[in-house]
Amino acid sequence: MQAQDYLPLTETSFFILLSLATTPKHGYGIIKEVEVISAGRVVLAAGTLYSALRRMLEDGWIERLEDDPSNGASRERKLYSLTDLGRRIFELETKRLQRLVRLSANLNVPR
Amino acid sequence: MKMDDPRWHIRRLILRLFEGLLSFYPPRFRRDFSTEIRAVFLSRMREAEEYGGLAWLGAVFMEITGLVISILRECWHELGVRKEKAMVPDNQLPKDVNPEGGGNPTIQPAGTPGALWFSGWTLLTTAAIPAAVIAAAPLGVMFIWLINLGVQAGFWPTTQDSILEGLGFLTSFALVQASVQWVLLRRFLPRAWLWFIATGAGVLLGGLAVGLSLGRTSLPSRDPLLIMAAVLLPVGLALGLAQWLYLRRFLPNSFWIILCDVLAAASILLAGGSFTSLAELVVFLLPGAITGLGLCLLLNQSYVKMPYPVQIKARRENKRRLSRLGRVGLGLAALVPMFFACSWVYTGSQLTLAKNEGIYASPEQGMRALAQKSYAPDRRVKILRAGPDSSDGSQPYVWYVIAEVRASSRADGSELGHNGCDAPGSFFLQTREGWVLVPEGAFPGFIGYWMKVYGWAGAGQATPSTDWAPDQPSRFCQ
Repeated sequence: MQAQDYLPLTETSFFILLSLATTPKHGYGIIKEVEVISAGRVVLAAGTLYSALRRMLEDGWIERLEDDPSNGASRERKLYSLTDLGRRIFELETKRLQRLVRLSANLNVPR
Repeated sequence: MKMDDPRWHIRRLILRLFEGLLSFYPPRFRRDFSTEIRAVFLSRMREAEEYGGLAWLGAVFMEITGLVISILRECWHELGVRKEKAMVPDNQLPKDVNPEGGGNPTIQPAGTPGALWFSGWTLLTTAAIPAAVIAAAPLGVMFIWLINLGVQAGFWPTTQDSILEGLGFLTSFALVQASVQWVLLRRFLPRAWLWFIATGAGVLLGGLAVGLSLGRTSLPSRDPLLIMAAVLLPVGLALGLAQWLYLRRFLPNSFWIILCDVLAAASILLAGGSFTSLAELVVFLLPGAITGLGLCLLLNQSYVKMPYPVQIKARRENKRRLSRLGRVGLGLAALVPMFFACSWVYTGSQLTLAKNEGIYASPEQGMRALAQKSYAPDRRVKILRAGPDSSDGSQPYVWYVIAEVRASSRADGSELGHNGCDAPGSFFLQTREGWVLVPEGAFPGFIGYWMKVYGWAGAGQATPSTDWAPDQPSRFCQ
């Protein structure tokens, strides 16, 4: 499937991809990052997060990496990182949202 | 937090609960993620503890709720994966499973039918013919009952029973044949429940159209072969068209199914009007063999030619669980013959039990025999009333008998009721062999209805044989 076939993303999926866009993160790191970038509005439960990660792994949006033990990471800690497909999906979704915002701004809808 | 702190115990308890819930994940998911989920949960708990009890409780609630929802979602997903695996044998998986880079390798063509499938199709679609004949009887009776209801209500004029029995066979044949074909094809076709509808509708509509047109015209010939041809070929055509409407969405050469169905219907004509030997019954294998061969060829060739996105679409549509609707429809359809079967078994067994207790020449005689069993030898029995239980006379073979019995005691030694008198009442049903006693708790009205349907009821009598005497007091045992 092409990247655009997956659009639009759910809010959870978008935030997870957004949190992984800069650096690979482990599960708890993703939860904290999403909480921060959504200003506390989106708080992911562990179960919810890993269901989403499983789906993204299966669809090839992200990949799972072993954390470096020299960083003090335990063996159970895995890092998640965007694949090219995941990055492309994230970019397309960002552009789609930007278009929507521009459209809304250009229409001068009274508030 | 120390062990003597009650919060430590609560925390431990919740962790145990969380770990217990983790075990409800499907094994594959549990193996891949449960350690990580547990670690994240612990981190979240540690963090929430810093914000105080209420925040901690809120975090626990959110985590447990999220976990339960996630478990349900993963179990649902796992069911879909298992179903898909069952549909795609490993040896049929193509090597280049992921042509677009990011896709899931579980999306595969559903496979194609082989020789074993062809044999199964031929045998089962042939076996569906006698199965439909068996199921037709209760359906025909049901149609007759429904039509009679409408006739009584004045909705439509009376209809010949033979037409309704024919309609029963047609419906039964459509349901059985569609069910069998759906079961055999659902592995190979997306949204296979549509095949069930197409086949059922094709047979029913084709049969009805033929029945209506034959009913209005007089055939120029009485040759049974010509009559068979006039019935079978249009039904085959209607069936082929209905199945083609479905198949054309997935198979490029699907129009061949029309020819297959017409040929299959025509093959019955080879049998002629009568059979001189058992071997000639082999002809009835031909329709199944022809359609089976046609479908094998269509499915084997067409899947290869289908572009990969079409295969993906087909697989995705299979993943959407739409066949579940077909399963529900099949289950509901199965309830009808099951209901008839249950009523048959219940009515038959109750009547057998009743006959073992005794068969009587009249309901009055039955009541006297009952009194003989239940009361002391010095009893005096007076039949007060013996007549049909229904006031409109619709069930003249279901009677209710009321007697007045006076005796020194009952058979078990107990005393009789008011004024040393009992007024027992009992149901008696007339079978072909005679009257039998049916206890009130066995639903005699229900049994009476079905014994008529199954032809076990006697002629019955609409007028009471013993009616209330004019001098009968309004209360018993005065």
